[in-house]
Amino acid sequence: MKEKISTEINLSKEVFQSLPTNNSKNRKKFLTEIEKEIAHYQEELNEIYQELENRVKPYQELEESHYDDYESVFIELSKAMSYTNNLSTAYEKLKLDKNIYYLSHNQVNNLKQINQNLRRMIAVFHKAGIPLESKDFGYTKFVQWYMEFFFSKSASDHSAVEKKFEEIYWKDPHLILELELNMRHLYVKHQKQLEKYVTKVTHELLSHFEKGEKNLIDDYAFLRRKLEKTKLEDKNNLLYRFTKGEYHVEDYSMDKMDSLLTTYFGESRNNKSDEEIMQDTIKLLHSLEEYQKCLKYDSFIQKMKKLYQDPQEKDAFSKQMKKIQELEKKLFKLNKKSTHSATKTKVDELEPEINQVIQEIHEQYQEIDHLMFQYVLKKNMKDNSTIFKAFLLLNQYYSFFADACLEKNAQLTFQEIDQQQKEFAYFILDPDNTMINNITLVDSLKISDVVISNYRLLGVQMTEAMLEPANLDNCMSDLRKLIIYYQLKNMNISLETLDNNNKILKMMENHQKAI
Amino acid sequence: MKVETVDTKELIACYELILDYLKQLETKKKEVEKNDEGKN
Repeated sequence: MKEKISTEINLSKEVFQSLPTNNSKNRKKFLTEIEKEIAHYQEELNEIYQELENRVKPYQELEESHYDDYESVFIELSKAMSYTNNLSTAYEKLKLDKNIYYLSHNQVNNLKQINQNLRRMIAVFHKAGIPLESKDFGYTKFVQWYMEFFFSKSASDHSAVEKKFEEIYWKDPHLILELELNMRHLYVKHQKQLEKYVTKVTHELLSHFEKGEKNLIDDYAFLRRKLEKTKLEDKNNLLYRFTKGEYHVEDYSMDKMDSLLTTYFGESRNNKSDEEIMQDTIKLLHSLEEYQKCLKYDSFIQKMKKLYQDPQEKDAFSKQMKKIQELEKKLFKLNKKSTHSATKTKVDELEPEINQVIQEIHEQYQEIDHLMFQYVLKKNMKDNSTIFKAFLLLNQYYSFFADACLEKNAQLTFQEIDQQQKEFAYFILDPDNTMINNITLVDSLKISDVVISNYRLLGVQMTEAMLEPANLDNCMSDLRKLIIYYQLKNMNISLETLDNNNKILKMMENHQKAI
Repeated sequence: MKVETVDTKELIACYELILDYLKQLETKKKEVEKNDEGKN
C-alpha cells in the first residue's frame, strides 16, 4: 500500500510541477487542482487515522489492575500473626504500647489525637471486660477532672473538650504525661485479665486453622507467592505500563538485552533455557532486594546485636516494676492528703512533692521501656537465632521500632513511622527471603559476600562493585528489565506492536494539537 | 483503499507519507496564493 501511495504521490508531484502558474488564470486553475488534491489525500489520511485509532483503542482503554484483595488479606493475616505469636505480651498485642507511645511522644500537642488514643485504649479494656470509668483515673486530681469530663455527655462536643483540656492544661502542664502514667498503671493493674483476653482471642483466631499458627504462616506464604506469580503473569499491567510510557520499548531491544545477559550470566547463558534464565533472574533480583533491605535496616540489626550482647542485671525488669509500685503508693498517699487538706496552703505545699514523684515514675518507665526490649531479646534469642527472629521481635515492639526510626530521621511523623512499620513487616514476612532466615544476629558475616558466593554457584556473575549501595539500584533495574523481556516473550507480545502503539499514540497527540 | 487488511507498521508509514505530502501541498498552495496576490 505504501508503495502504491508513494507512486501516486510522485506522479501527482510531476503533474503539479508541469502546471503553469505564470498568469492569474493558470494560478486559479492550479489552486483548484491543488485543493482537489488536498481534499483527496486528507480523506485518505482520515481513513488511515481512524483505522489506527481503532487499533490502539483496546490498549488505551486498559486499566491498571490492583491487588487490593490480596493486600487486605495480608493485613488480616499479619494482624492475626502478631496476636498468635509468643514473642510479646498483651501490652503490645493490644497495641497499648503504640497508643502510649503516641501519648508520650505527642508531636504537636494534638488534642484530637490524644483523645483518640485514650478512646482506643479504653475500648481495648472494654473489649477485655474491663469497663473503665472516671474513678479509674485518679492518678492526679487534674487527670481525674479531665477524665470526669471525658466520660461525661459533654465530651461529644469537641470544642467543649478542647476548652476543658486547655483549662486544666494551664493549671497542670504535665497532664498528658499523667494520663499516660495512669494508663500504664491501669495496664499493670489489669494485666492478668488482659492476658486472658488475648489468649481467648488467639484461640478464636487459631480455631479457623487445623494446624494452628503453622497454618496461618503457611497461608500467608502461599498467598504471597501466589501474588508474585499473578503479577508476573499479568499481561494487562504489562501492556498498560508500556502504553502509559512507564516502560520504554527501546530499553528492551535485542542488543540491549544481549548485553545485560552477558553482564550477568556470561558464558553460562548458553547452557540455560530462557525459562531457567528468567527464574535465576527473579531469584537474583529478590536476593538483591533483600540485601538492600538488610542495608537499610543495618542500624536496627546493630542496635539489637548490642542489646543482646550487653549484660543485663538479673531481675532488672521486676526490680524496676517494684520501684514504680512503691512510688505509685507514695503518690496515691500524697493525693489523698491533698484531697483531704482543708487549706489551700497545704495543698500548694504538696504540689511540688506530687510533681517530683510523677517525674520519678516517668523516669522509671522510660528505663523500663529500654530494659523491656533488651529483656525480651535476651529471653527469646539464642546465639544461633537468626536476624529474621530478631526482626520479628522488633516488629512486635512498637516503641523500640519507632525510636530506631526516629534515630535515623527525627522528622518522621507517626503516620510515616506506621508506614515504615508496615513495609518492614511486609519485608520480614516475605517467604522467599533467604539471607535473614539463615544469618544469625551475632554473625559477623559480610552479607555481600554471601550474595556473591551463592550466585556464583548458579553461574551468575555478581561482583562487589555491583552490590555497592550506589550501584545496587541500577543493577536491580537491569534485572527487572530482563524479567520484563522474558515476560514479553512468554506472552508473545512483540516489541514491534508496542512500538507501533506508541507511534500511533504520539500521532494522535499531534493530531489533537493540530486541531 | 482497504485499510483494515494493511499491517500496522505499513499503515503508520502511509500515514506519515500522506501527512508529509499534505504539508508540501499546503506550502505550495500558500506560495501560489501569495504570488497571485502580489501580481494582482
